[in-house]
Amino acid sequence: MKIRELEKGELASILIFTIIGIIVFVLSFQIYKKNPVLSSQGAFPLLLGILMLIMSALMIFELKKYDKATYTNGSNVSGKIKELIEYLFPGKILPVIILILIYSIALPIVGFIISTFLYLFLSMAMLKTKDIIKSLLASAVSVAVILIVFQFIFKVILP
Amino acid sequence: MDFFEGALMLITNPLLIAYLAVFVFLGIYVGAIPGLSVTMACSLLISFTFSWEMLPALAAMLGVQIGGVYGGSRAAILLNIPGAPAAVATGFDGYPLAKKGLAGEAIGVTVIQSVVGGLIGAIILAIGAPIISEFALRFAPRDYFLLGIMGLLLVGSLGSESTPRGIYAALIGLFVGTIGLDALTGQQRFTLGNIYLMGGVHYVVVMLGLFGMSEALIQLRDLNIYPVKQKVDRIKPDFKRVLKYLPLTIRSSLLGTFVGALPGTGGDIAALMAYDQAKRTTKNPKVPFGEGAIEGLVAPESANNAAIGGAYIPMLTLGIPGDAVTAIIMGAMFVHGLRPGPLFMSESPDIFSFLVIGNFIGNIFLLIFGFMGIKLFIKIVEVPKHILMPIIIILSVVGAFTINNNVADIYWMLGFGIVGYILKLYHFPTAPIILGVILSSLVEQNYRRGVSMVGNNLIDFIADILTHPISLVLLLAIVLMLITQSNFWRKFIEKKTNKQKG
Repeated sequence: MKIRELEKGELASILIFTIIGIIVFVLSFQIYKKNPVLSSQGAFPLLLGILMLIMSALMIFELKKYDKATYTNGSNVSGKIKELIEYLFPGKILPVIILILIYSIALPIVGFIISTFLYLFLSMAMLKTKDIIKSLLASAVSVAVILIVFQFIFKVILP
Repeated sequence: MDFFEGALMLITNPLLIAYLAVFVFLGIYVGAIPGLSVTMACSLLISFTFSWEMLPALAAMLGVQIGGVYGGSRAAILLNIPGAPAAVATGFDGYPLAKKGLAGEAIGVTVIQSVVGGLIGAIILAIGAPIISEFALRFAPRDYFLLGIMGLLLVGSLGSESTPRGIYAALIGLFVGTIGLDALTGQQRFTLGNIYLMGGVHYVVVMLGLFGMSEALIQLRDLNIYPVKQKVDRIKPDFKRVLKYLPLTIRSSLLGTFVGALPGTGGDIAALMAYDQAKRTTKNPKVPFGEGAIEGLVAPESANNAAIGGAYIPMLTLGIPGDAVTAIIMGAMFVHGLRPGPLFMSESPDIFSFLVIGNFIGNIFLLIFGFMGIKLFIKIVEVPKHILMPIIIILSVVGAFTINNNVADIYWMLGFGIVGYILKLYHFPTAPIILGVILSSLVEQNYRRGVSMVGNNLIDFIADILTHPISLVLLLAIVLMLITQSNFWRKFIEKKTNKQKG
């Protein structure tokens, strides 16, 4: 009996992990060959690289225990990519991630209070558009609480 | 004398006791809210308590852990969603009880059992740690190397649908731990010329990404899941039941402490094993298991809280954390200049007694707070995800920044958050990554010391392991674990069972 159906993109993820294993192996080998003894600075990472490759091979071998992922658009490549993106980032996940990235870039420029308030308000409002007033209140209260708790209780330096 | 000094430090300091109380209380609610985990809370706390004195920081972490492990059971009983992995087994009988209108009684049982389990775990910690610590002094570097491998193998193979994926995750963690300047030679490894990477990737950044940010993203995938709540008016303590189920409580607590003390296994596995053990040993339960058996609450709840004390034993004496939460607490101890390991008991006996007594007092606070605040709990679980999760992301950002007051840490945390999110979607466990990062230095340094001691010769290193009893036992344990996790073994067992049935 098969364990389950593969998720969309799961096969590609295992191939990516195999490539990561190869990269770790190659980089480690470059360090190891400078001082090729078992206790050198490259030996342990090289061991990790080898084990990563063995585990990748086992993960590929294990794939026979799973049913193939089903794509509703059949063999159409662009359709498959679209479905994969929908699986990885359903609903508002992608805008949420983009908003976090913008926030992290804006943070050192605009400052903590304004950028955090805007990030919280925009993400809360985007996730549930009906609750604009609630989101406004929740983000203002959250920023105030974070400031009080972290600056006075935890004595943390905010970004 | 030092042991009593540590105990007195806590008992005579009302502020420390207050910290413990407040964080046990907060832990209960963190553990109870589905989507928030003890691991997440401890990851955030470690960064926020960076600038604190050592003892208040440890009291806070310990409090959250004690409260959080219990708190998960409330959501399991009332919503059928375990608030924490350790509460999965509690839901098996807790939710059916709640559906029968007995949620108050069920929560009452879980509070008392958690406290009794926690106290038994603390007693075993107090007795067991000094014994193990003395024994650990005989460990050679090769033994630490093997012990680290064993812990990673256990955490990688248990609780994951695929052993290679679990081990691969642990390898990622070990690799991340090697980035930066080599501790022995000072040479750069995998830094790609980047100044930030020369200092290595801080494990707290990895924790915040994997347990804070990525978990928030996973929760945001479906905003429309609304838990179906069962009614509860007040929590009813029933101390008569404590005596009735005492033998089962003691059995489960001992099992929980033992499982918790194994490197790589924590409260979740302890609770499931205790549930299974109760199911097999209880001959005629009043109500069948799975339909609201009290024994089905007693066993996992006493085991998962007892596992806290158990998990501290290998962490404090060997420097090998029992599970992800203990790994984070070990990280917190590093931050405050403590060095858990074989010398910990002789170097910091006061901190050891502080943790033991803290476990006791924390459980007493659990007994008080566990019976309170059910109305507040009902309100808190109603906080919608679209408000809660962006706040968790902000806390992760603030947490990442506080480590070095460096914006680059925020970017790394976000990176690990997105990677963790994708790993979770593809059924890769993330706890082995954290354990890998934390253990990387210990495993590598001891491996290098071990091979250096035999002249960098692989054959001699293997012979060294085979000719020393402790190393040989550890090696055999690793081999046994690998065999029992292999397909070959599973097929062999399947065939054997089919033959017996046929």
